[in-house]
Amino acid sequence: MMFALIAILPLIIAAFLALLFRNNGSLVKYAAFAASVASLMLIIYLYLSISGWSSLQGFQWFSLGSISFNISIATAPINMFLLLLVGIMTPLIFLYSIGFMDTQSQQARFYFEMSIFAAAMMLFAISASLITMFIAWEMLGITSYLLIGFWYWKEKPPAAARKAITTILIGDMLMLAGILFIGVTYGTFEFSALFSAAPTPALDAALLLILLAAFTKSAQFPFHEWLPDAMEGPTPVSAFLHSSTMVKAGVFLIAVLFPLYVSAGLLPVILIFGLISAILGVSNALAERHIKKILAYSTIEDLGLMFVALGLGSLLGAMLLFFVQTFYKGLLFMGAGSLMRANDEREDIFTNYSSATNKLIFIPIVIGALSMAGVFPLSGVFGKSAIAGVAEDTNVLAYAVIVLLGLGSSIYIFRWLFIPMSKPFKNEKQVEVNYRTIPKTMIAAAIILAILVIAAPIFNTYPSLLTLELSSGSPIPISEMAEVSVIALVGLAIAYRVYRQGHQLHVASANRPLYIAFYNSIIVNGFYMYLTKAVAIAADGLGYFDLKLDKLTYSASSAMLSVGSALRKIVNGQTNVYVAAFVIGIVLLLALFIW
Amino acid sequence: MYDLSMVLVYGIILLLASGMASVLIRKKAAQLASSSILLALIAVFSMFLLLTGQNATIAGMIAEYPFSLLFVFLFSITLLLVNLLSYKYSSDYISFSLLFSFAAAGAFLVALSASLVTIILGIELMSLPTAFMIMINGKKFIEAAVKLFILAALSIAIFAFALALVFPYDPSLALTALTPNAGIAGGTIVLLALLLFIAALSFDASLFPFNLWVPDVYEGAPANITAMLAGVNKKVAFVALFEVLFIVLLPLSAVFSLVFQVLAVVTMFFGNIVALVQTNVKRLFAYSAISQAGYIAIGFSAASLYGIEASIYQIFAHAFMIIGTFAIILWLESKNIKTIDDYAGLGSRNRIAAFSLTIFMLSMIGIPPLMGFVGKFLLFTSAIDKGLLLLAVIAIFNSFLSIYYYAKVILSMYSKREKSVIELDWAVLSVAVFCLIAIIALGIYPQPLINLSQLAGASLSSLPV
Repeated sequence: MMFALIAILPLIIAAFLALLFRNNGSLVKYAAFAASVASLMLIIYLYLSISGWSSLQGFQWFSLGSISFNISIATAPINMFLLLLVGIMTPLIFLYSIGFMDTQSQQARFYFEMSIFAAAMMLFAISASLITMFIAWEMLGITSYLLIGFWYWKEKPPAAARKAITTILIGDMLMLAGILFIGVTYGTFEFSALFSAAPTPALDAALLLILLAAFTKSAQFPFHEWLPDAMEGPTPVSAFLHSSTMVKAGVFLIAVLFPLYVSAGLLPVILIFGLISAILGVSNALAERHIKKILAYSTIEDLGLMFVALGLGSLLGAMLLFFVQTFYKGLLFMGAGSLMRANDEREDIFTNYSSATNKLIFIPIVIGALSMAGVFPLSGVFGKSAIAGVAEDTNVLAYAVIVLLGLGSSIYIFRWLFIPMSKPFKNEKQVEVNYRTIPKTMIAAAIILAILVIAAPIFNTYPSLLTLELSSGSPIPISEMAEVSVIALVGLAIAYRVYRQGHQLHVASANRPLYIAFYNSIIVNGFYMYLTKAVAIAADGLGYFDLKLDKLTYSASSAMLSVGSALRKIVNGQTNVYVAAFVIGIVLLLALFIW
Repeated sequence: MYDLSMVLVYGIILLLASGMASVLIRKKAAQLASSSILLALIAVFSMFLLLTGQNATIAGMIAEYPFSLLFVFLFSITLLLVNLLSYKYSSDYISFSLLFSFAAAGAFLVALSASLVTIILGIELMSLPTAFMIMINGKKFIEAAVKLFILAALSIAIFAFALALVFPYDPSLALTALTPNAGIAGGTIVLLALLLFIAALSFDASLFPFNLWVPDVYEGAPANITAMLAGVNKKVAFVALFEVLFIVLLPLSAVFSLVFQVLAVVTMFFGNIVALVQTNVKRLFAYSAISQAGYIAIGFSAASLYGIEASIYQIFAHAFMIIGTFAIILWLESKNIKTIDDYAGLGSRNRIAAFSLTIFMLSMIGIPPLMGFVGKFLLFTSAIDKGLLLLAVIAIFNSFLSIYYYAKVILSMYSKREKSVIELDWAVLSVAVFCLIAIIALGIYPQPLINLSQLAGASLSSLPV
């Protein structure tokens, strides 16, 4: 009945295998990889075999009176689109992990959490009711928390994981509130039923709550701070999280519910927050030195642009960027992982050495960077030019910002590429050796992704394949693609001029005003610091009250010499407070009733 | 067909008899076996009566109908779990058994009561032995026992006073709807009685501000008794609240809905915020149990059939979560592991314990598909359904707050790697695993329990949906 769920089954089995054979790392990793391949096969079969596109299947989980809580899944084009993307990325990430994790302990736990994570994202892709979606949403949140904090015995990962889970859980609560509003107002949680429901203020409020929840998951302003910190997790996790899972969930959810947002008039909100996030992402990426954090800020920019596209009313533009970003971001993270491995896990781009000596690693990275910047004919350009094209027609201001952002992103990604290259190899034989001994599986995964980056435009020439029914799909004008490419090349030239030729002169000095404003976004971080402080003070205040009670108890009990005196002490010391509270409570209840 | 209605009563009498016999025979294992078998039989038989739809009233004091049978079922199971834990960890199991059988009879009486007199008898029969169950464990427990004793006495006194206030309206004191204008001018007396009933029962239900004893007593008592206080006594108080409010004082549902909105909000905030700064795990869970009582109170604020059903579901959920949690705390306490810092590395010292504790806490937070999620979802739905938007939002905000202290414990358990393995004993293991299975199974497939609570709710009250 629910065939699409079978596609997830191999990963669940792999997760259980990881639990059962937790001491047999090699078995677990190959089992996980095989499961992900099987899952991809099933998804492809599903993809080819489903004729009636919008099939919706479901069963009742539980019901309360007339409100029924259904688990339902859909295999509409947009669902299959994400399912296929996750299906393609999962084996590649697992392949990369085989090499990446070979020197790590606790591999079984890693593959267990990764398999559940992938399964949750697949469930998310095909969910057709708010209930199913929320279950997948929660599973994503919890497993991402576990994966970010995977190296829990190190210093930074637990803090990063806490930050992530805090933000994500804020989102979960907002989401739950939104879902309940909808459920009680309409008596249903099905997406399909919502599209035909009459709009009410409750629906608008719920949509706003869900939008905010999507911002937390997709790391949009003001909830973006957790994503750069999440780089403390293992690199395959970052590659997975940033390409096809987790952060994409927020955008995807809004895309699925897009007609509702259009009719509720919330598009300007989406547009503004998307623009702010994209600007924050680019400015931070320009100042950052941490090799993976630059990519993380770049993800914030990408997601911001997707929201901008949605805000401009272009579902197709958002989904195109969604699609191409998956491949180039996955590729760039894999490259960063190889780079760090060769450089003894150093994270600063100024102290790292480039992989230029190993062409098998280097060329895929260059392809990824070019694609990200938007050079024709690599796939990135299609996403960016689609969005720029829509903006040009509808909102000049947004268009100007997008052009500037395009230039900025081109500069920072080539800065990311050039700074490690500009250092001459002198006595760094070890790094060269390291590059030669990077595990083959890591290289292979990156190469396959590079091929996908190059080949992805095929999907654009056949828009019906993936984006069927998304939109009437007018083709992207060549002029727009040329424009984006030129901007990317200008950025490349600037970056080459500044960073390739003698970077030592341009090591960002930490007290320049722009640097202060943008680096690690002191302003936003400061705000969060005050917020947490305020909560801590409130908690301390009440804690003090508790402590007082505690002290009284303690002094009473320590003075106990015999049972008799103990009785007296307790009755005199402590319990009368409780009795007084009891009586005051009754008085207050009376007051409440009289008032 | 024979009249089976008396069988349940005989079961309870046999339980009492076996408790008294144990003092004479003094065989621990035999007592454990007989009381456990009797409790299991009561559970099976009450479920049988419930499913076959047999109702009966005995001597005007005891009524068997879906609501009471469902709670007899719950209490017999939770008491069975507490009994198992106590066998292993009580320092004087024989004396414990005697007191335990009285307390159990009290819990069953409240569930089965057909009259307000039976309720007060049941509560008295349950609370006072519980205080002594704490005391028999040694001198250092006397403080907690005395606190419980004094406040329990106060609450019973207030309950009795409320009983006196409603007596003129209905001298039979039967569990039937009061008619407010039965010959006496003004409804003020009835309103006063309503508030006093709520105050008296809020003591055991641990609603703020009647709950200040809870952290001290929960922390000060041996954890097996704490499990009983949180998993049985508290639920009994909620059952009594159901019976008094939704049967006797049903015409005043608008008033008690308002009162419970206030109580739910202050209780949730009190429990969650103070729990944030706790370092002792047992005390932390005392505050957590308080906040959970606040969630259950949401169902009373909704004052609808949905609200009753949601509360019943959540009472089941919390009973299993908290008994499982305190079982593990009990076991760790015997190894002198008490604070959150002591819990560091539990994940590698004993996988099963750490895993179950994690699941219990995730369920308390309300993560799907665990029982706690379904319960909270139903409660919030019932609140929004009655237009209590603000209450629902505050409750959701509170479940967010609670994540911090639960996460503190979970993080600590998995924060470092320890070599020294500690073994679970059979009693704690079986209780924890039972609760774990219940929480996961009834979370994934909650419909049977929802149906039962629907049946129970409909039999309890004539409220419209």
